[in-house]
Amino acid sequence: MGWLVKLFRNYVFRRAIRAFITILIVVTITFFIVRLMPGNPIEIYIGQLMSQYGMTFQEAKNAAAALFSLDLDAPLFSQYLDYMKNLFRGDLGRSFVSQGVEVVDLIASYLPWTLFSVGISILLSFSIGIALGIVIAYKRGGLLDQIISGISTVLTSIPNYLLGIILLILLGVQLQLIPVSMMRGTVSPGMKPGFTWKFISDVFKHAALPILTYVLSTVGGWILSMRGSTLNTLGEDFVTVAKARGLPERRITFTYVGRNAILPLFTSLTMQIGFMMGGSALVEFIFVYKGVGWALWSSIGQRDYPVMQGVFLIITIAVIVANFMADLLYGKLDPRIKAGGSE
Amino acid sequence: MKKLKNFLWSLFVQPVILIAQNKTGLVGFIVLLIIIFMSFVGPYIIPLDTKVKLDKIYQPPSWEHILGTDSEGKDVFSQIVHGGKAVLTVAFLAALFSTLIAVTLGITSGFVGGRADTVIMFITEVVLTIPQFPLLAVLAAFIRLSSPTLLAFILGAVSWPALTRAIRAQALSLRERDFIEAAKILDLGSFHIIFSEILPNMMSYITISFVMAMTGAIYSQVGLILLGLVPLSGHNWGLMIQLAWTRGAIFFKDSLSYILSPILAIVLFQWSSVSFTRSLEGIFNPRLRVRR
Amino acid sequence: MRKVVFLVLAVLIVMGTASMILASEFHGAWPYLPPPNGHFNTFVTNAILGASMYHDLIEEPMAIYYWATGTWEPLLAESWKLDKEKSEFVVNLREGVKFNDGSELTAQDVIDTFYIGYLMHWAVWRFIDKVEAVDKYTVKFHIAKPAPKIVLERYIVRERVRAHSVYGEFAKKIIDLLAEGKTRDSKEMKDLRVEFEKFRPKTIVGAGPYMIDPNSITEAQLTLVKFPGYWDIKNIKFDKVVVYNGETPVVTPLVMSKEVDYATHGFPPATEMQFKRLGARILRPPIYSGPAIYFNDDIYPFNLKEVRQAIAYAINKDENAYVSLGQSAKRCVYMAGFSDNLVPLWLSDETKSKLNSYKYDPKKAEEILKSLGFHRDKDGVWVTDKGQRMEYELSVPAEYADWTAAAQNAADQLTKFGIKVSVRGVTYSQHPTEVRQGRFQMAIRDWGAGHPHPHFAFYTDLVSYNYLSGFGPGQNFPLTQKTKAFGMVDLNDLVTRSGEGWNEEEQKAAIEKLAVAFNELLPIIPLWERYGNNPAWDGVRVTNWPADDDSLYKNSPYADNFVTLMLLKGILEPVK
Repeated sequence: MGWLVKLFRNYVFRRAIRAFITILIVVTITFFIVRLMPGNPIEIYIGQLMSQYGMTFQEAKNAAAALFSLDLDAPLFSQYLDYMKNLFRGDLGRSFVSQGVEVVDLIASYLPWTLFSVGISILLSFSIGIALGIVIAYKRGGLLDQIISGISTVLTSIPNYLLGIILLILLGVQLQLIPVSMMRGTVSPGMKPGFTWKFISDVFKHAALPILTYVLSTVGGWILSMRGSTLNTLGEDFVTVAKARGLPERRITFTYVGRNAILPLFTSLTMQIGFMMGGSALVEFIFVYKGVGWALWSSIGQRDYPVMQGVFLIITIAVIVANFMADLLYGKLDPRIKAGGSE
Repeated sequence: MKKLKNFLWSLFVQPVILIAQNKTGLVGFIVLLIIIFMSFVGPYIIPLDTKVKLDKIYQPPSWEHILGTDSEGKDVFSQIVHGGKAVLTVAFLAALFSTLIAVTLGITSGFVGGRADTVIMFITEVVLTIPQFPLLAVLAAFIRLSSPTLLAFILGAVSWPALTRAIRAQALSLRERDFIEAAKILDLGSFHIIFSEILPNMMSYITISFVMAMTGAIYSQVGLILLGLVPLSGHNWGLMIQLAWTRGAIFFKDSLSYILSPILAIVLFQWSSVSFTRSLEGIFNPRLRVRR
Repeated sequence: MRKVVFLVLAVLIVMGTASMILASEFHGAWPYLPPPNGHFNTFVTNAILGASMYHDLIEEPMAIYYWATGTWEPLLAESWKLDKEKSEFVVNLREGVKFNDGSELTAQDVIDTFYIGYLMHWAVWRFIDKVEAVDKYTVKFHIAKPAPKIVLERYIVRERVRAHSVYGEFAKKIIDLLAEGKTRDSKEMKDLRVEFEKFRPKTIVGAGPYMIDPNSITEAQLTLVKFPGYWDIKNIKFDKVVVYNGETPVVTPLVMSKEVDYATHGFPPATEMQFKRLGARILRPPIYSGPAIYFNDDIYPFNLKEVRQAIAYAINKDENAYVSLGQSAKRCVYMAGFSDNLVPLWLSDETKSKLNSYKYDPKKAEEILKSLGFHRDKDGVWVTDKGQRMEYELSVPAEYADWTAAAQNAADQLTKFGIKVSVRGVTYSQHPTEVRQGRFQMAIRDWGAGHPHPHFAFYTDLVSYNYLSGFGPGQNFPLTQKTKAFGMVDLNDLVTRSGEGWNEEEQKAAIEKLAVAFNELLPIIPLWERYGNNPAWDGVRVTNWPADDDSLYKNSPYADNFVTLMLLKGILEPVK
């Protein structure tokens, strides 16, 4: 019995339970919100039939009724229970709009591309961001600070899809450096997937523009945040003490200032990694990149409930797990904080 | 009499001197004032061009139309002048709401800890992970907004969680610092500790987050307009960008100023705000003042 | 001797490589969904390139239509005949035609196509009740409900023929069930439908000149390769057709960089101006429909025809057209409820002279409102005779650039006139539903239809968004109305009659009546007719585009696309 008590006292266990409950609650809220959205898949399907096949409204309605009656007639709450039951078995359901396609398969084919492109972007953006952020914090007020801060500010105030299209036009149309078709899609036509140099280099070539867009639109934020955070840290007494002690500048920067300044950014980073699962719908739209954001966007437009919920589920789990990790790791990064924060 | 003079001095003159200490901050401050002036006073001076001129569609910048014309031949510059007020009001209020909530909850959660921390963090996580787009779409089906305050409130209400977590992290770390320990021992009271010790240390981070929150709110407003929560009329930089984008203005050389002007307005606004925070750094964090 | 052999070899090698490099390509663009969402079952939504101009090149139809002359180009069908006495429509198929999997085209393919169409609730089954083979190459359709010839033709011979080798099994099950007396409403048929929706053939088997290269499909583009066994192969001049995926803003850079030769997307005026500046030709085929202001008749005073007429006079539609879509938008001159391009073919001169053009006349609008007892408030806003200020909301699909431009301009104009209108955006997938449910005051929806027979246009204008749709009240525009021209008219009856029956004269009379009634009652206000602004590059990969006044360009690009025709007939040629 004693071990049970000990278990409950353990912060990690309690935190995990909390994370799990949070996931359940958010999934439930998502289920109902998604169905409360104006419009439902039947109406949208009818609209599609009318425009694509020239059916009259009545004909389209009959055609749709035959198809959807199974899924959407039951009362909402029992649909919810069914959904949760299946969820625990790992069954995310089937797409309403593309009959017979398992949501799990859909996500499995789109998710890796988002993880790849956005993942690399976050890595690059964060690394460059904190490096430059520290530098200009040290050189506060100097010319470098002005220029880099200025560029960062400009970049973060432009929406990312506009940056993407500007790059596309600049590189593909104006300067004609890269054919536009090379900047679109995840791979070139006819590429056989595999661990060949040909395939891998092709993947990178196609991911280059989306990655560049993501990095350009987010790096400014990291630079400015890191600068702000570093400035906070620089004024601290322990830094003065370290200098007085005659420690090498390098050591001070990395071990004392850097580690402390990164902390607040760390929570943003883990959250961004979590949200990364949602991809960026607009950037993927511009570059016709087969990622999760693209899938999510079209599933929202068609009110394809199972797909929408599937993607939202992945994002929810990812963010909550990321936050959980962050909470646990605080203690490691900053020994002043006991793991378990305030408990 | 002397007391009044001192009070006025510390309220108006001293800050300006402090601001002027940082060159960039001063420039930012001035540009910010110009933008605010243009957006709030400008509309009374420069009339909005509402005349459709079919022969002047998509004119590049000229002496007659400094920023060119739009898809109906209307002057872009007058639209920029009139488009700032709504955007900036909502952006400022939204960022204010979300930052206030985040700072309050974040510091409470990090500093006070215990039960409060668990509850606050739980709520934060739930609000953080609820999918925003469907939520706003549902909202759009049930309400129509015209008041900027209400709009700002909604925007603020969905964006506070992220900053809250970051603030909490900083509060957790600061809580264990020596000077806080010292303050506690000296029995200076939590209130004093929070406002005089903890907050000033986070000020640089908070101010920059506030500016980013404003820009975020500018673009989120557009999303709400497209969802139908807010009417598609009125003048608004974010909406101008969206309309110019759907009208393909980015692809045509002569119409570039139509889409770039509102972007430039937003960029200038953000740049001047960020620069202004340089001066604020000096005011809030006295240690930085000396460092210069 | 060695030298000669060497020379010959060299020439052969050069020619070989040259022909490889010079494989002629046509580059187009169309939005599609890649696998696993997109698939090759062309009866079901989300089929790759389904119902597009490129689909016709893969699964060829029996014939394709020339809108300018009202004649057909026979493709898989050589000829057909409508026998009104026997209520039969007989089609004679071309002999010796091969599908791209090697099987031969016979009557069975057509029968299978239409019976699966039965399962899928195709509109054609409103009029036919049986399809059978007379012999190997002759198909007989039994007409249960008479309809105009052009309507039957567009339902029957314009249909793409699917292969028995792919769909035969399902078709047989349907035919068997029907023989047992089980219709679409039976459980067995419904289950079959659910099963069929999941059917995923490995590729598209068609009798057209091109086939999809499955290895070439990415989410950004796919390639169609020439089918060497096509029946009219001598006219097929391009080895490959590359189709790029994407919506308008995504396709624009491809057109600008000349990587796309032709696109049918609705490009906004700014983009079009840039295309022109870069040297592209802009083709403007009529679309035969456009945006109109719909009114919610439950809201007083929209139920008064005079008010609607006044609003029509108060809007300068030429201006509205030009700011929305530049030269690709033309004010409706006849205001007959269907395309001005079709009016000369359907209305007599006498009828035409009765039509009011509702040309911009704010004074007239003012007169009309005053005559109803309306007056202007202190700030210039109109007040009805019941004391209500005229302030309304105009809803429009937020994503349609040309419609939102039209909405904003119309709202501005009406506000200046004294009717305060504000615009609200609704997401495009949601908007038709909201309008059909009556949740609007004023709304922008489509008038007209992309069909040569005006019956469909009137269906859209009067029925599709009205209380008979089954979705909700919609416009709630009463379809029995009193008119000055004819007294009481039953518009629903007229619409139905114009599209049914053998008597073409009666149908034409119904159309004429509908036109005059529509023009007088003005249930909706058509703002302008949309024309395409298709960019076409001449001289990059493709050349020999016909001159701008060629009658081919009267074909609606979304119904019988002229580029499809030009590719089929070898009119377009590769650049040498």
